[in-house]
Amino acid sequence: MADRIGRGERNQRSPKLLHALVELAVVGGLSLLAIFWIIPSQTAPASVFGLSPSMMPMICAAAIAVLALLQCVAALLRRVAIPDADRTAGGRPSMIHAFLIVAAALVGTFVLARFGLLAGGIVLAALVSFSIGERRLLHNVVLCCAVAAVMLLVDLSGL
Amino acid sequence: MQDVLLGAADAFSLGAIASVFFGILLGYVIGVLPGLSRPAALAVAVPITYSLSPISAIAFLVGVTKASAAGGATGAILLNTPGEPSSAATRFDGYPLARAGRATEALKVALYASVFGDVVATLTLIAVAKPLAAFALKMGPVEMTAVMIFALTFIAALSDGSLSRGLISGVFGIFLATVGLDPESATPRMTFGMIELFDGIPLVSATVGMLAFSEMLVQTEQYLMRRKLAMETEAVTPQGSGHLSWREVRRLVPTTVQSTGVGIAAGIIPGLGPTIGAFLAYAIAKKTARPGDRYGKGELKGVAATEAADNAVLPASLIPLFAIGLPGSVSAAILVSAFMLHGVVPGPLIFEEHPRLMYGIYVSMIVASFFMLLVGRVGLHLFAKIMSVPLTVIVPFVIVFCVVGSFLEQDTAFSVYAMLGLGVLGYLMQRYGYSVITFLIGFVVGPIFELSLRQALIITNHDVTKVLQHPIALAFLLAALVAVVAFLRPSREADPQSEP
Repeated sequence: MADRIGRGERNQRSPKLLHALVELAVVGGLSLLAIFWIIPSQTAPASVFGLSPSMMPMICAAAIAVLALLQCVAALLRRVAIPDADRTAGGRPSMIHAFLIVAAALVGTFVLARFGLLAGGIVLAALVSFSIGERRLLHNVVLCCAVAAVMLLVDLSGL
Repeated sequence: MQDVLLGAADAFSLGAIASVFFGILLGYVIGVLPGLSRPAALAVAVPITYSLSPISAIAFLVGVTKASAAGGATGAILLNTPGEPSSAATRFDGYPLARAGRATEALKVALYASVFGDVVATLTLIAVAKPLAAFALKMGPVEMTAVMIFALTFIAALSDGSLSRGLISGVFGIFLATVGLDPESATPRMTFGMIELFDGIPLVSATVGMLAFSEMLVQTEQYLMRRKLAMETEAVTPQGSGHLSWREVRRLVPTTVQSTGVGIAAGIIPGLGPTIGAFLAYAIAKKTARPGDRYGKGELKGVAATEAADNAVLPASLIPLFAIGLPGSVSAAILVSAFMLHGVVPGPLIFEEHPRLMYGIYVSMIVASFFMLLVGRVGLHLFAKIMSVPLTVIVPFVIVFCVVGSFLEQDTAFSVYAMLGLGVLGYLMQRYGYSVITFLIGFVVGPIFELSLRQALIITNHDVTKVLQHPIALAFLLAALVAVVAFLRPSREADPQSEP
């Protein structure tokens, strides 16, 4: 019985340990990258009297690194990890649709910058609608017409 | 007195009145729609105000915020799905009441309690903000730095997930706020040679991306999950007049007054926000229940408690914003971007620099409360129909607004790319339990925090022990420490299913 409980705890601890270490590697690693490369290379020293321009970013990056370490230690000390915000009964949802929407937004922005509000709005609405799985032609046509009307209104209002 | 009259005249101009009215109308629609939260909608609405006068712009956004808080109850009562997270507690009694055929009654109580909570909190704001600002002006940089450290710690502690993740989010917000020119020497920092970044990451892009765009990504995921699991809730249609007797009204008054007080407190204390305020008010109302009260099974007092508290939070959260420049909630943080867009910096000096605008905003807030009652009462049954708008319509529309709104800010695609980048960042942060709200508040207070910290370091000659000579600062730092210790207690961190 005790052995079974021990095995159960070990099984539970392994992904928790991995999760905590990956989180530390990502957050802590990015803060170290900021401290040793991004901030020094992207901040010129000030030639005037006063505090260094890199002071505040350095303090923040160092604080994040320390907090990431604390988060890792706290996660390891806890018996069970705090669940992530969006973990649901059906498991963690796939990110594919989110990235499809981002891709649609990038294409839409390109069209918007090149061909104006009307064309950009219509293309963006159609692509986003497709990327969330909406395939009904009438629905998409009505949606694009409505977006076109709003874009014309924005254009006419002088915003 | 002259400023009060001039402010009132501005608030009663046709443009300002129309702005409040359309803000209220839009707010109700947003509140009713389950897929669109108040901060997200507010972030999308900010770009709409580019061409408006400062008073009309702020009045419009105040209208959106107030009405979306009130409208959130409709979905909670009729569909058991709150339009706003802050209306989630309204479901406990609202939906059972609707199932029992008392939906109209519940909707009316929600509306009247919302308006009551809102009016009382607005009057409190008017009474308290200016004297507090006068007091805040006496505080030096050391005290201001300590106040901001306390507020960020408290907000991080109250955010979802762990305290350290909340703090990381807040500090990361401050970190990104340092991108741009150094405030002291005007040296470029982390701009990667891009001139567009010399003014820093655009605030509108940050709020729109972090709140609206990322929320659309999350909502899409949830919608697809629900579709996969075929989860549906039975909707109830409101019928009849739902007349409230005088006796019933008298029975509801003490709970409504008590919950309004809870909402005001939740608004003033940074980080608590409307959701915690509403749940807290419900818990207190339940604790102080009288014999015969049927909390959880369909009690009008439960609806009144949550809605009064929810609506009292926003005006109260403007108290720390106007008094010390500290946004206590995410809605207040977005309002900061709207103020700054129109060249106004919220803080203790706002009453001296823009007295006419401030009194105009106060009058507009009262006008908004009146419109909230009027529009809410007239559209009581109509708004229930809007709930049926599917997410497949909401998501494309909101994303188009996010992109176009960001584009119009500087008329370049750069703002849109910044918005999309921050949107993806916000989405990933939410996915892995990092608070977007704490990030955004850190991002908004970042420049003020840096300035105060630099001034404090110069005043104290880099000697941290000199904080001991500043009792107010010391008190706030100790309070921050107490908050950290209190929120690190095992009872919060431990999983409820784990053994004691």
